[in-house]
Amino acid sequence: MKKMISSGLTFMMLLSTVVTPICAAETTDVIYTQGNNYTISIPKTVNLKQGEEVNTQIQATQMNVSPTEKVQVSVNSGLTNGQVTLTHDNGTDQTTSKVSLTSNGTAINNNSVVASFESQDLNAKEGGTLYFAGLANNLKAGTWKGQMTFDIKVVNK
Amino acid sequence: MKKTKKVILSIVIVFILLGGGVFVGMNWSHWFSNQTISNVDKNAQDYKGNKETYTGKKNTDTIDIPGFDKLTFKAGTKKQKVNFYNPKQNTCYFRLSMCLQDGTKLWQSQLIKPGKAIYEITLNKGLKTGEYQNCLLKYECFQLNDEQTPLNGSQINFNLSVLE
Repeated sequence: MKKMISSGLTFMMLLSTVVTPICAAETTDVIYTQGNNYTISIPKTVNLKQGEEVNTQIQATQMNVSPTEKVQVSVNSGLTNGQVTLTHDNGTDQTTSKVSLTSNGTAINNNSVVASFESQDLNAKEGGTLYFAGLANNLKAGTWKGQMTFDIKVVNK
Repeated sequence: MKKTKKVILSIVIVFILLGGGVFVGMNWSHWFSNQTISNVDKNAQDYKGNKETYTGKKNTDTIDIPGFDKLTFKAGTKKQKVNFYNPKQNTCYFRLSMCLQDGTKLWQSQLIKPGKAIYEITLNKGLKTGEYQNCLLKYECFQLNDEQTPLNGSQINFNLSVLE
């Protein structure tokens, strides 16, 4: 009798291990990815002066970029060998102004980074100010115009 | 004993009179005044959330360029949903155009006033599924005058995912 009972109990224990599911801890990742977005403020126009350097700012008015990336601003067009070209109203005469990242500094190259911004910080991490050398003093009367196009992209830090 | 009782009674009466006086003084205007605290403000409206308030003069020397680094389109169709806009604080028109890395122009807008947005565009052609790297959204900017004088502009780089 005792043997029967102990055998029966042992059998039940063995049977229970077969049918009882293994409860292992499972994890589920919960993920959300927020895309990068930003608003960069470029100069609308730059009013240059004869014989006197002027400067203008590249700023961020809204920044939301991942911590491993940054927003980089460079000049895409409007510069030739670091000089911005202005054309007179007559469509023929041209003059130039050297563009640099520091006052009276070296001319920037095409596609040089002129400003960069990171994370949610509106302050430029690099650059942020463009300096335009003074124009020649013997310019014809009238308006001299040129345009610059800024290239903006998100890059890895 | 009689004297002690009299003293205690006197003290109690004094306290009752003091307390009563303070109580009457505090509620006198409430009991006997005909004036209301204040009238209901007829200018008040139902609350519908915060409205725009004055934040200083608009900066007319700069152009705000909205940017992003990813866009998703549906494959094989020209009509696409977007969120392109000219920030209301700008003082110039935008003309936007979208190009692939090889220069293929997919779409161009007409002039967009400050404060206006484009939510649906029609591409020049539908795209196949895939990832299109280094696409460009070009911002050409023009003065808000009849001559629409060209101003400085910008272009943003983004990656385009075209999905089924």
